[in-house]
This record gives sequence, C-alpha cells and structure tokens, in this order.
Amino acid sequence: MSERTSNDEHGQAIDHAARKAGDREEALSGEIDEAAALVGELLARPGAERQILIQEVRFHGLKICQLLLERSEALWCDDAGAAVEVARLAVEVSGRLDARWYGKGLVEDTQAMAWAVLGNSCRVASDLRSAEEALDRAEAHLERSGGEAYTEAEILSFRASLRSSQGRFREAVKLLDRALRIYRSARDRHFEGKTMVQKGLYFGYDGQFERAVRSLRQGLSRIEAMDDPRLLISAHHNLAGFLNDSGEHDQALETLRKARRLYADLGEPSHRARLSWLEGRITRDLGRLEEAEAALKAARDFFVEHEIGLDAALVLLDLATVYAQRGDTAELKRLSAGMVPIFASRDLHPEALAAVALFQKAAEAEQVDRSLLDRIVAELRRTPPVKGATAP
Amino acid sequence: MSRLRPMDRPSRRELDQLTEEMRPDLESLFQRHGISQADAERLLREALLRLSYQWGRIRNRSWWLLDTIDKAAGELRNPATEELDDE
Repeated sequence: MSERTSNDEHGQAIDHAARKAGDREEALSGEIDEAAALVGELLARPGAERQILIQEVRFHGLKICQLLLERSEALWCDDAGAAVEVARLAVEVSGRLDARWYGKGLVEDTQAMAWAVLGNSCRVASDLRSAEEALDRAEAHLERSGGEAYTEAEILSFRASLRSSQGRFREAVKLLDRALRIYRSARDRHFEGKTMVQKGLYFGYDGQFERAVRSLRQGLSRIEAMDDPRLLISAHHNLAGFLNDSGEHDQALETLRKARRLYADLGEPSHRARLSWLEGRITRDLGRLEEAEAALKAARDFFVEHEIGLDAALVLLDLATVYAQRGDTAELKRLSAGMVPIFASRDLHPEALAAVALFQKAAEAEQVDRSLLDRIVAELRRTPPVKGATAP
Repeated sequence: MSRLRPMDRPSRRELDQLTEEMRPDLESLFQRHGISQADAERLLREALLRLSYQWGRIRNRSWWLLDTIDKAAGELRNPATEELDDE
C-alpha cells in the first residue's frame, strides 16, 4: 500500500492535517487565557492548599503546566526552594494531562520538560540526588515521546549543569557537545551560542582558561542579546573573569569596561555587586590595590547585607589577598576577626566554614600569603552551591 | 526571558503558511518512508499540535517539523523492540 501512495494523496493528507491543526487554534487560545487565571489562583494559595487544589480537573491543562514551569524557572535565581515546589506542581499536572485531547507525543514532551525543570530546580537547591533522579525521569519520557529535539537538548544542558555542580566538568562538556549538535542541525544560532557560553563556563571551572575564553567569545557572537539579557551579562562577566584567570588582566578590565553599560541597563543589584567583585579581583591582579580594596568592599557589603554566605566569604578572602599583597598584617587580623560574627549566623556548608577557620588561624599567626589564600578560595569554590547563589 | 514562552501561539495563517512552505519536503519525506495517506495525515496533525503548544520555544519550526515527523515515520516503519516482544 505505502509504496503506491502518490504525492497527490500525501498532498491531501497535508491539507487535512493542516485544517485540523488550524481548527484547534481557537481552543488553544482559550486554554492560554484560562491557564493564566488558574495559575494565578493556584499560586496565591499557601503550599498545602495548592496540593489539594491541583487535584481538581480544571487544573489539568497543558498550558497550566507550562506556566508553572516558566514560574519555576523564574525562581531559580532568587528562591530555589520555591522553584522546586512549583516545578513539583507542574510535574503533578503533567502526569494528569488527557492524552486523548493532547495526543501521546505532546503529553510525553510535557512530562519530559516538567521533570527536566524539576531536576534543574533541585540542582539549584543543592539537592543533587533528586536532580539526577528527576532528569532520569525526564529522559524516560523523552524516549517515549519519540525524542523531541529541543527537549532532548534542554535535558542534556540540565544534566551538564548537574555534572558541573558535581565537579565533573569534562563530562559536562561532552553532554553540551551533544546539545550543540542538535542546535546546529536546527540552525538555531541563539541556542548554539547559549550552549557555547555554558561550555566556556565549564572549561573555566576546569582550569582550561584559554578554551573557556574561546568558547565564551564564540557563544557571545551568536546569542541574541534582547532574547536573554541575563545570559549576555553572565557571558561577559565570565569572559572577563577567565581572561583575568589566564593572566590577561588588561583585556579582562577592557571586557568589563565594555560590559558596564549592560550591567547598568539590564543587570540586577546582585549583578552589580558581582561586577564590583570582579573589578576588585582584576585591579588587584594589576597591582592597583586601592581601587581593588574599594571595589571588593562594595561587593562585600552587598553579600553580607543579603546574607549570601559563600560569596561573602569568597569576597573577604579576595580582600585578604589585597592586604596580603600589601603586607598589611594588621588589616588582615582585623578582617579575620570581623569574619567571625558575619559567618557565625550564616548558612555556610561545613567545608566552607572549615576553610574560613583555616584563614583565621593563619591570620592570627601572621602566616597569610597569596598561595594559602588561593588554596582556601579553591576549596571554598568546590563546596556545593548554596541557595540563591548564581552566576555570574 | 523564559525559554518556554507558554503564552505564544500560532495563528491559523501562520500554521497554513508553515505547512505550505514545507509541503515539498513533507511529501518527499512521506514518500521516502513509504507512509500511507492515513498515517501521513495523522503524523502531520500530531506534529502540528505539538508544535502549536510549544510555538514560542521552538525557534526553527520548519526544521523541527521535519525532524519530528522523520523520527515518528522511522518509528512507524521500525517499531521499538519492546513492542515487538509484546506481540
């Protein structure tokens, strides 16, 4: 039968399918409008009530699930716990979608995406085991969906982020290469660029600064700025950071100078604090210690005020390197003593606290030097991400 | 901006336009896989529905449509082993 199916018959099939798909457009529009109101109603309730409410059939819509996923993503930077909670609601909804109405493939796509977003939310919330399990579930749904390309690439990217959080940077890069192949097949330059930026980050974390810089530059030449201003800032920031790490301090400062307008126009307060931090590190490495001290103090004030413990600790250690470079043991001791009350009440991982304690001991003994501080910073950077800690 | 863009949706005109643009490629794909008229209609209808619901997320829609139907058509001709085992 199939061999004899003519182009005419396929042409008719195409006409019929297009007409039927078009007939669903009105229903889709209605679903979108209704979903926005329902998600508003759901998220206005406290957590326990949401769980009850979501059992009602009126919440079992695909657009509701997608809006919840969008909301979860928006929470990644500010409240990882809430992002997990909202992603769980999306997973719950995705498991109750009517396959007769949406079709099996679309339901599986949606389930895959819901589990993938939950996986990444868990990673951001430092629950790496749950992240792995959720991404496994996402992959199982992806397979059943027939392998929808964009979802596959998203899952690969989330899995790469997880490998990075586990310190397995080379595996992360390999996963991103698979995502890159998909975006290149799709000739999707923006997502290709975004993936190259992510790859650059992992090269950098792995200490391969030149490859990091190359990948970030290639990525930046491809991303569409207005589509993702956060990504743009983050990419410039990391480029400047890795240029500095690779010894190209002047280029790093120039990159940061060019990006300053972006931070002002598009950045959030936390981005500007990170700009000061990086500026402090670069000017320190250029030997401009007074500028470095001022910039690092500005960053410190932000992180201390917002109780972002790990970053506050890292900035203070960078400040310590400035004092160490100046041979100012009195300032080092003052800095060390000032760290006690700052960190005593903050949510720092035991490894991070141990690293800070090591610094304090060395400062008291007047034995702080740059190599010790670099070792402590490297140790701190290896600790799991804390809630709300984000790149750049 | 979210990658998901759940509020985006195609108009009927956009869907028609896409299908018209892709018509030669679709016909050739169905022909290549030896797909019947009924299966061709079903595969395209399902793919267009999936695309409509993910309109804002999928940027290269023509590529996506062909890729998705190509995979589904391949699966139709060579169903997964576990399905054969069930028979």
